[in-house]
Amino acid sequence: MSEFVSTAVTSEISAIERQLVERVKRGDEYAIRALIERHRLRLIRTATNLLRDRYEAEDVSQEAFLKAFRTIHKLRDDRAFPGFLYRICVRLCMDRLRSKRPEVAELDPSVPHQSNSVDTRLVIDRLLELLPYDLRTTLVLREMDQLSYEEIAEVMAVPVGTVRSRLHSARLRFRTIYLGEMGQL
Amino acid sequence: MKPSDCRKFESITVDWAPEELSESQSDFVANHEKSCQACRMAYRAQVIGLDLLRGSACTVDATEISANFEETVVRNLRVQKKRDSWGYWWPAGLGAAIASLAAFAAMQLVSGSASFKPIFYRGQEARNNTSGIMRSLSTVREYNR
Repeated sequence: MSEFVSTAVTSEISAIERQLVERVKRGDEYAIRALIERHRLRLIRTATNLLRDRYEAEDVSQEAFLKAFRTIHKLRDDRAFPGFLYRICVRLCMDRLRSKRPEVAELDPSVPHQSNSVDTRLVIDRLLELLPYDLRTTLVLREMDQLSYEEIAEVMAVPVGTVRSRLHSARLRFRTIYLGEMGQL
Repeated sequence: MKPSDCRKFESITVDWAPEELSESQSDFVANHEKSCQACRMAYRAQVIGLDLLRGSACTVDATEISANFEETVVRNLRVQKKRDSWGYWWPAGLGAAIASLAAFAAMQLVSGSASFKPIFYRGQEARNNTSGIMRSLSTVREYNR
């Protein structure tokens, strides 16, 4: 019974979504606002996880919405809008990460460490900064956004095999860096 | 303990979450963990590190988003739509057309003006001067003889 209700709700949501996308294609500003309202939280969360900066994440999310609405006529299946928007956002984040760090920096041992839980987030931020942007994006999408291998492959426009190997490298490097970091504490 | 066991341990633990392992893989991991301290430490670092990573996932609330988020997108969209239309660019296009017409007219005026003739005369003068020099040279030569 509950499964039936949940299926009905899902199909109703996708019908609303489709209607909104159709209206956006006709230039309806109300529909634009409604779509922003529906998707902005998820977009900002993902962008913050990837960029580790709330303000930059909002900026990228706005850019993603803008790009999505400007190219919405290319969308053949109106139900695919969330994926389309999410892909644009992740790719914009990757562009930012790529332009931010052309090379992998080393951990600076002179920076003092404080071993309390408040700094956990900072430690994670620094660990992620030491990963190349493609490994970092793959790891964040898998571990934080809980995307499947296939979904990551679609978002990053790479084969599933590449996702597997990137994830392997990312986890390996992450744990090596983490071990090194813990050794310094 | 063989190095190949460490490689196998690393491969299994990096690619799979503990709950995804088969029974035989779980047994292998448990046995190897007991016997190899380096692998045990690396695996624990991975488990703790990834847990911390998941735990540090962003939790943005709707109230935390800047109030003009939606408005900024809509406003920028309006501006871009305006820019995409011919109506936005026609004054600039008209200006450019007028400027190029003016430049063309100015060039026509310059090329057809009186300043062209003196150039011709200057050339003629130069030729006259050259023949004068030649004459002087031949006079000098005759004098030398």
